Amino acid sequence: MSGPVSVVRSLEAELRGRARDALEWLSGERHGCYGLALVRIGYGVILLAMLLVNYADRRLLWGPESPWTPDLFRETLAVDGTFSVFAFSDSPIVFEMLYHGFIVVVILFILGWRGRWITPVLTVMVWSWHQREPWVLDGGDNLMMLMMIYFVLTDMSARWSLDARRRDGWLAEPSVGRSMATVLHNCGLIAAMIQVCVVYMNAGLLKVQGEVWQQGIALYYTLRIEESQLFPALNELLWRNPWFVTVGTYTAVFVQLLFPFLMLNKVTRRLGLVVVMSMHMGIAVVMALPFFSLTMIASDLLFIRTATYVRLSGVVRTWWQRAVN
Amino acid sequence: MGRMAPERRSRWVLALFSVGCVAATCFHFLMTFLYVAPWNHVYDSTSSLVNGYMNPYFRQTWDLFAPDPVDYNPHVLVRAKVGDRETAWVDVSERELALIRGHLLPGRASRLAAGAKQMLNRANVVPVEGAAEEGKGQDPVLQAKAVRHMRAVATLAALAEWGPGVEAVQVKTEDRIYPRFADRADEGAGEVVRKVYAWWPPANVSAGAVERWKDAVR
Repeated sequence: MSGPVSVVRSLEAELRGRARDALEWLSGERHGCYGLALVRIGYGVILLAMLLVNYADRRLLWGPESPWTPDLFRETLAVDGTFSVFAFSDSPIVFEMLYHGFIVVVILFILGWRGRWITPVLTVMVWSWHQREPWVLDGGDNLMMLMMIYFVLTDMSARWSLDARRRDGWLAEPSVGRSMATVLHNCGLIAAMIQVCVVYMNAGLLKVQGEVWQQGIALYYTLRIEESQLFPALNELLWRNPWFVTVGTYTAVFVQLLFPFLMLNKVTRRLGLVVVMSMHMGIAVVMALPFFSLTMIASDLLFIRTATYVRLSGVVRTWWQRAVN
Repeated sequence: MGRMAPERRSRWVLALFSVGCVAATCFHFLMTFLYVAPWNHVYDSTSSLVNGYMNPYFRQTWDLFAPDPVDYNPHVLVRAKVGDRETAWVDVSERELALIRGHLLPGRASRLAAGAKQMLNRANVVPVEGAAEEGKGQDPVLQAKAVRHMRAVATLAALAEWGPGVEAVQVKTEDRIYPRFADRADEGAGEVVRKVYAWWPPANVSAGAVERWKDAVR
């Protein structure tokens, strides 16, 4: 009667093996470091551009002179039970120091200098900045903020950074603490990727409930919003074309709803990423939302595999050396 | 675990820590899913837990243009009492739109009046002409905040336009509805939903703020 016993034994061995593999995947190696490095540089450049584009208007938007007055700002913070470093003082000098300090932190973030400290500091700065004037934000700001919270757990400056240069040739001694940090890194990476899927799937799910999305004409309405008209003549050309409106509307619905499933397979992943990235490049122009679009594109970069990045960086290096010689 | 070999013990610590992290991630996204999902029957019994966990740090909305996209262009118009005369209406939104048109990287100053209007609508502030939205809640605290917000915007716009003699400001909002898709060839103007709010005394804004408004919203 050794049959059932041996089945249980082999099942147990199988489960043990799986658990060991899972633990090894989580704690053995920090995944997605190249993708995270690109997102770091991407988010940093987007933030820097926002801070500089609005530089002349900074005091009207986020300073003590904002129509979202210091009183309204503080009352709202209290209602939400949260904080903002901009609430410490109404002095214009303190505000200038914070704004310029923010710019410096963003530059250090792009360069990947002491990422373990700079990432949380930047996260606090972005949060504080959003709270100071919540009425000028869009979905891109919302996504970036959530992602920054997850990124605090990760080692964002492991590649293409000053930290990487400093660590070069230096081998960390294996320890439980280091393995735990690796577990946090991988969980943060997975969380960021799930968050991107949540955005697409939820946006898709809400769209399929809408009549004009089902009818394939929703794009007509979004293209006619004046706020989204960078080149009004271009938008008019597009909304007058029923082919563009219909194909565009259905593409947006399907690619968003199916995004998580497209990511599961190598071929569909490439297709899905090309479609969403093209869609967002289009949105940057025909909906006048460049910062939103760039944030979405930067976040999508997490779904490109490390092997692809390694190959790409090899190609770029050869090309660069050839150009130099 | 006192008798375990140190290596084995650290392996257990790591395994437990990993299980904890994975469980936390699962919990976080279960909450996220319930928070962003369209209304459903689970919502009633879990909303206080979900909202308590998600707000404010994980607050998120992804319903832009869905289920029903916007079908009108919102405009904010401001006029003022200067001495004993009433000025004509000035379309502040038109100035904000000018900051977007032809600008590949538009600045956020293009959203100031639009944001204040959004808040007036959300708080469902009652206008003196036109009607508040029926069946929508009215929270007096939120309404008062929305009015202070818009008053500050209107005051900046009025002082920038008519100088320091402004004694009162008034705001009118217009939702200019554009034709349905089926009527897209129509060139005529569509329906307009107008709301005129009460005259407000100017907000207390600094001269520097007015100068900056002039620079930003030309």
